[in-house]
Amino acid sequence: MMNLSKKIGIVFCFLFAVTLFVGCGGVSGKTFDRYGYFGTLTVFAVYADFSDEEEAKKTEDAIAECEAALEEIDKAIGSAQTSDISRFNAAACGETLEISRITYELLGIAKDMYELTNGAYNPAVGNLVDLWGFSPRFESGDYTPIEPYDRETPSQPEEKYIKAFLSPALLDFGEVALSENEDGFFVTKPNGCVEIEGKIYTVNLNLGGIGKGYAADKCAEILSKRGVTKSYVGVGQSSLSLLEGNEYWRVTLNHPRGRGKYLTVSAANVAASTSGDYERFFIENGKRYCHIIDPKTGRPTSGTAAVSMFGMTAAEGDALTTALMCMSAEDAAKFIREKTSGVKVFMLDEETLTLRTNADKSDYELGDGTITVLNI
Amino acid sequence: MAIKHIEQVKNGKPFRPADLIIYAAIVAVTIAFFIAFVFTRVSPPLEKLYADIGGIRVFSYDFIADVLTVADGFEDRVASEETDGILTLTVKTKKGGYNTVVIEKSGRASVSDSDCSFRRDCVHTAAITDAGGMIVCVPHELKIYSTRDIDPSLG
Repeated sequence: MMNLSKKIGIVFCFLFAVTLFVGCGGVSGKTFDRYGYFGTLTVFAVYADFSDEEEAKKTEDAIAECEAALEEIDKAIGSAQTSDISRFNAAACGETLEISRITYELLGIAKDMYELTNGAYNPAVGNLVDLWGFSPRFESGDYTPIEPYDRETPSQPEEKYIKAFLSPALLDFGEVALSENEDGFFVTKPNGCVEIEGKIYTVNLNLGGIGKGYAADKCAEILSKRGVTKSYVGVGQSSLSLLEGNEYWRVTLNHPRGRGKYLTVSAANVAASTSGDYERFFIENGKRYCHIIDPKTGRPTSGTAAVSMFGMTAAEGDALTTALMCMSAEDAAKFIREKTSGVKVFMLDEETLTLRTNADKSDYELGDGTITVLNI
Repeated sequence: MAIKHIEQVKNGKPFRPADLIIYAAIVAVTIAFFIAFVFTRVSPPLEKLYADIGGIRVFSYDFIADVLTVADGFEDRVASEETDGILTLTVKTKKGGYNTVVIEKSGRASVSDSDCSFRRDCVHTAAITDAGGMIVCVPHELKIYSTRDIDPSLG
């Protein structure tokens, strides 16, 4: 017959095992989906003890403050006709407009990234983005053709428009002038215009490559300030601001050709961004045309299927991954080595699906399927 | 005999060295299983599929039990047809729109049709084939996903 101490010991071990598997009592993870900002889905994910009223209220209040911030940012740079960016795009050559502090700040970041990437990131590609069918007016169900170059279905545009919209007069983001004084913040449109078949086109900005990241950064600041630190915010599926999580978050990168997850990175207190040719695209005659327009060619990028980056702010990462998509693999590798530090970059080649990265093997786990890894 | 046994128990030490070794071994095995379970998992196959509109559950499908559950209040908005192991769901979304969700019972889900936008990005998004996949139709606020794990994904 078993003695008492052994019985107590076995029960203790059983309880210990159960506790290990059940984990900390009360704390659970929840996601909160929000639509209506920047034409995409924003997700807040939080680990908290939601059965505790105070914890639940803290999360609720933090998300409400984040939504107010998203609303403000969307009003400044979103697609509504009254936004600063829409007003800028509709303005005449050489016109000066008053803008909000948010727009001023974001355009300042955009200018820094434009200079850092030597124009590979260029928010003045707005006319080209619209030409190829990727601007916000194509994202709703009530699209109607309004421009002479609009087509009935997603397809390549006429060459004459690509050539016209490649004019330096329309693409020189460096000529967009920012100023501030005691009255407020201002932006002045460049004087360059182009006429095509009687219609005047001016510089057109598209902040899709930086705006979501900026929004993610602002929300992360709010979550952190309010002590909701076991959390992250994702704006679209391309910009993440990660706080602590349960020590860290396991971030998976989805395979651009739909083969599940190709990479997992454990990360915390860092921003993560992705640009890829699989988010918004159309296929014509077997060729993929994605929403990232190369300012040098006026056409959608090709060669790289996806670029992901951990480090910098989400706004900077957003812009930088867009720029890296527009560079050749060699130029991108050189840029990362010479112009960045402390960031982990993962670039997946379109055809061979080779992964180029500056990260150490211990920084990531490859997913299912075989990918060749090259260190840059 | 019983009294002798009681005397033996009373005089015996609570834990002999051999007992401690056994208990330590049980704890070590438990921890090893825990680590193996948590840290070495690969993408599990598709077991469940969820669909939300505006963050509210519309339906879920259990691949293992082969059970489709349509949420209360959405019965008139989800029409389903089944042919040869393929479940086709037409979901009426906001503003009178629709998305057609195709669930292959072998373990795959995709959106085959929609009137959402010019390009219908949801139709061109890669199919969900394992836990962690997601398809979002932003104009219709429809999110189709396969895990309740909240770890994030990019792309």
